[in-house]
Amino acid sequence: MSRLLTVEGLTTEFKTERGIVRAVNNISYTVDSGEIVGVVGESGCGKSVSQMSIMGLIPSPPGKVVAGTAIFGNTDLLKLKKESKEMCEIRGNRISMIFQEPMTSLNPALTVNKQMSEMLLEHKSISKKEARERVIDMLRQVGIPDPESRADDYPHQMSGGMRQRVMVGMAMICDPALIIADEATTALDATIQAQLLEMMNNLVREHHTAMVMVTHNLGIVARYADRINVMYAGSIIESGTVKEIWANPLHPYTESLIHCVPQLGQKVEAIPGMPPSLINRPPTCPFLPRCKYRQKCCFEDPVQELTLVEGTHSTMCALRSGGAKNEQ
Amino acid sequence: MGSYLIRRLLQAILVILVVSFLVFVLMRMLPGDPIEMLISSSMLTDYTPEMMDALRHEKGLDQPIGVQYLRWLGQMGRGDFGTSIMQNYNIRNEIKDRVVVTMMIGFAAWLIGLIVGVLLGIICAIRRGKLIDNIVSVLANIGLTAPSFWIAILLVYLFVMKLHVLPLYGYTLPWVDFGKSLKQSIMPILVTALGPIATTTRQTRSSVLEVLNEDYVRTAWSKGLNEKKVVMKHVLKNALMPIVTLQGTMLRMIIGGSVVVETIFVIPGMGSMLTKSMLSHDYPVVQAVTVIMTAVVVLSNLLVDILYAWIDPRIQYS
Amino acid sequence: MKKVLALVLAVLMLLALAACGNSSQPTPQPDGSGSQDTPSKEETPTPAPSGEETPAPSGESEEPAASEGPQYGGNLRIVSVAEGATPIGVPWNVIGIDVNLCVPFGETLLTEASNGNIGPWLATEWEVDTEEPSVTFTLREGVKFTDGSDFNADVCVWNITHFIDAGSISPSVLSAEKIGDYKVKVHLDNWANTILSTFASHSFSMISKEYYEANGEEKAQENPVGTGPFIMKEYIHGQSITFVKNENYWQEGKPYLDSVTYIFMSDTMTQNTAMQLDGEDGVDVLNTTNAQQIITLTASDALYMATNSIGPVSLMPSSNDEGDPLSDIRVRQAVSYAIDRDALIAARGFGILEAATQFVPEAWGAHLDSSYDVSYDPAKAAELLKEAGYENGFSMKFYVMPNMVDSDIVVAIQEMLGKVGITVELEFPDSGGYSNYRFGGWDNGCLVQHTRSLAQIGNTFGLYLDVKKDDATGEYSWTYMPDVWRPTEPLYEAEQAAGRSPEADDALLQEIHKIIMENMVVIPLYNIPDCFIMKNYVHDTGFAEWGAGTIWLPSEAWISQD
Repeated sequence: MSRLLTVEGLTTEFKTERGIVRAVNNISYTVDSGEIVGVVGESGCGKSVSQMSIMGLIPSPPGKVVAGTAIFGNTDLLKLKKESKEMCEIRGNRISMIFQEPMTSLNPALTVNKQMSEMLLEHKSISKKEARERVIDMLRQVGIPDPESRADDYPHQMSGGMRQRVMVGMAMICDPALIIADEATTALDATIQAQLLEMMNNLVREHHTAMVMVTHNLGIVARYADRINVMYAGSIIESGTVKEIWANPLHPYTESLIHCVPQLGQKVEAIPGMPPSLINRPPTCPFLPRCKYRQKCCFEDPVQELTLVEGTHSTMCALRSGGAKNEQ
Repeated sequence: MGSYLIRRLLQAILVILVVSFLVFVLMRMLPGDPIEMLISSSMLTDYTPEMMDALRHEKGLDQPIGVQYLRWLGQMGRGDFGTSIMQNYNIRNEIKDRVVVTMMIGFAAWLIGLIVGVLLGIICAIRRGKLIDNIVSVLANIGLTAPSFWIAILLVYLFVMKLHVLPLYGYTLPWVDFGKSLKQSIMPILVTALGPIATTTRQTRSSVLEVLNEDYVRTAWSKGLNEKKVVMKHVLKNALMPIVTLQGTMLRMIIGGSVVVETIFVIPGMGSMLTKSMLSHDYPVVQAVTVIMTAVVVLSNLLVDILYAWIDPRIQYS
Repeated sequence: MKKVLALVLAVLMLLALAACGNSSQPTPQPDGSGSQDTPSKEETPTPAPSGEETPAPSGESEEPAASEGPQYGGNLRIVSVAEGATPIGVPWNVIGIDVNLCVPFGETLLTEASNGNIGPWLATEWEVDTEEPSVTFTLREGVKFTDGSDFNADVCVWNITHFIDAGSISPSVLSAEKIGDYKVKVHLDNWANTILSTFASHSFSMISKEYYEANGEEKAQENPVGTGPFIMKEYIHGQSITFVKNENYWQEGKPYLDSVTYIFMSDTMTQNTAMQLDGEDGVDVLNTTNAQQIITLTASDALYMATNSIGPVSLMPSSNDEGDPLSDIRVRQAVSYAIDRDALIAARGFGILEAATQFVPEAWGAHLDSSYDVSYDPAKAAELLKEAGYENGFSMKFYVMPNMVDSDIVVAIQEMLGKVGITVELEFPDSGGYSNYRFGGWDNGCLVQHTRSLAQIGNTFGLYLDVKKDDATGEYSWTYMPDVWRPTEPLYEAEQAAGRSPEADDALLQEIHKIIMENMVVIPLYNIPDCFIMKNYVHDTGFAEWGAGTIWLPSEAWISQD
């Protein structure tokens, strides 16, 4: 497996009236071709922002990528401007995105065919007619019944699930190397969610497309992803294969997250407290106020980086990474 | 769609009827009698009160308002707009020519207002907070607040008095003499278009800004479209709705502007006809002009509603 | 995007500039030398407005003297405040100020100077019979309409009959009778000497009977056929009307101008600009009563003005309420004494307005000796008020006529009256509201009105102060408005006497004027002029010398061709 994307020290900030919000704080991760990487975390932990940053879609102002590199092929995506030609050639063509809101992410004024085929027309030298055929084919692949006639539907004529299928088809249509699915199924109800995930999984495996699956649902990630990055308050606080993390969560936050996954016969345990404010963050572990294992050393000698513990499993927790001795 | 159209057309006729009735009654409620005004403004020393009464009778002004209105409706139904009280001309013949002139200028001004306004609005929205946005916003505010006669004076000073490049007054239809028509139209169209340009710019700016924050615009970017395509294909059409809505009210603005512009630049249009007839209480002329203007406004609103369906496929008519 | 913007702006600029053109501007040089030369003193008919010594009411006519006699050619462009929508070919269908547009093509039997003097035109002589009320006109021979048909007694009778049938002519004209090929007798109901001015009005221009009968009224309306020096060429309703020279005009060698154009320009700014422009876009003649506009324009060396007194702006005391303080003559006099007219003029006269001393200005024979002049005497005002029982003052209202009255002067008067204890409340109605007061009567206060002095001063009395008598009851009443206190009977008698004399008789007209002044029926304030502003190269138009009927003489006007 070859390396597809290498993100190093990505930091994104937003200027707000109350001060500068560091939404993504110095994160590093990689994506190999063909693998599915899960990014998990609570809402507002910076998972979406990190992905948008890589795509150059951070609304600017107020957002700004202030540090880091994201090497994709030979290009550092973070060096490219949002409107630049190079970026446009990558977006949609080499890396595509699926967004969370199926209801609003499609243009209400254009037919499905128009919205999908314009990508082909933009990136591939192809006629309108051929593009339409490819669109219909793709709609079939994502499970839209009667794609020939539905291709000319407007988004409002479709259900939420169908729309999200269209979004998936749209992301797949240029056969990109990487798809970023940003909470792609969150807004859908459970059965449709499952169908869609199954379909997406099959599709990317079939096309050997890498996928970054951003979600707050650890269960989903556990089922489909190869590797998981757990994010909290803008940082990746734990990283490893599904197996490693599921079997032995190192970070107290990850531990709590796993307890949050509903399982039959078990009481769901909520994480007490709220995520910290991202303005003027202290240098200590961001999870500290909510951590039930916190110790003196957590205050005195905080670990700022992911530390490899074993295999591919790494964590930022000072207690578990061996950086500090267990005092309890 | 067909039954919708018919229903809307019937509504339009009803609106025109109501407006015409209101104008009819309100004009007569205003103080001042057209016959008396005719006497005092024209120094008709030979007019005795008896002759005034006879004239009032001849013009049908001595009858109850209801009767007058019905009689007038009947006339209108036959396409007869009546005769001017103050000047004895056939209103239909007069309006026929003037409508074309006002339309020519109004339409050109509207088109320019739309094109320039939308372009400027898009530029401002995309370059929000930048120098060009600030400059255009200030200009748009001036355009909105500056009285059009003042702008007209500035233009006349510059183009007529100083540069000697444009004629001061008169109007020629473009198919009669295009060059002359163009020269004569520039200032009137510019003055009329100013308000629409300013309003459309502001509306476009704000609605484009709103659409720029929509999820599907982010989707469009994520597809790798360049800025031009994102704006033209995905932003503009969705931002168009409030702009189109605005065009309905723009007509009022243009008609209002025509009143000033036609008086200043000596253009034989409906606007100057309306002001003069209002001031002299020339009831039949005011009625005829307002009915026509109402019809234009009502029909253009209908057109706007039909346009909605084209812009936003979610809207359906039933 | 920037490119698109730049492109749009560039196209707009190009549009503006591509329309480049006439920038040449020959400035007319007012000739300093030579004497003023009227083109045709010896020609028939005498175009000079008055035969005798009378200096017409026209004020300072600063027309620059032309070094030579009249020159041929040119287009005279006149600003018209008329609407310009009425077909003008059939005069009896033309009402209001559009009648002015008939002047170039239509001619009348008589002419009327601005002081009221009647002169010949299509009729060379006229004979008045007051016993059996009638006028007998002797028509000019050899006059042809522009369609080639003859002007004669038949046509004249036909025209007058139409005026009568259409109800457009004075109701006292009963019928017209042909009594010779070129003699027409007009029978009247009763004699009023103001009737002659009727025949000088272009509302009663003669048109071709032949053309009318061959083509019908509709076509005749659109295609005026008269005997005048010009023929209508193009009428763009609401914009302009153009007349071109009648090559077969009955006065040989005339007219001098190639064409005459009226431009319907109602905006003051446009008028001022056009008057100051040379070349194609300019205009040559502007008629205005707006003092500020007169000042603005006469500052230019390329323009001169001719003025014509058109009577005072006056206070007309209350008509509705007998118990009103203003119904008391002493109060009306007090109001008059309390107003310092010279101060008003010094402050707001612009050198154009003049203090009015009487209802009829000096230019007319009906003007009275100086003992009737109003004057400023606040002490006397206070005394009169005290006598009338209003030593603590009272309050009243001013209803100010729109357009013609300077509102700053009204405010100044308000203050002057305040000093003698009279509180004035001002109301500025629109023209409709004003005409309601004017014709319907008003309570407790004064109209501030321009009482226009017409050439026939008798007509002025008729228009503003006419009294009628109900023969059945013997009661007198105001013709155009209700009235409670005015001296109706003496006014009626004086008006009847003045009207019945064979010709306008200054002594009789003065009698009316005396009643007005003695009773303070009207309290005159200041006189306003009618001003004709013209380019220096325009000569002998006769504007300001001719009355409201004749207006000007297009056949005499000419333009220096330097």
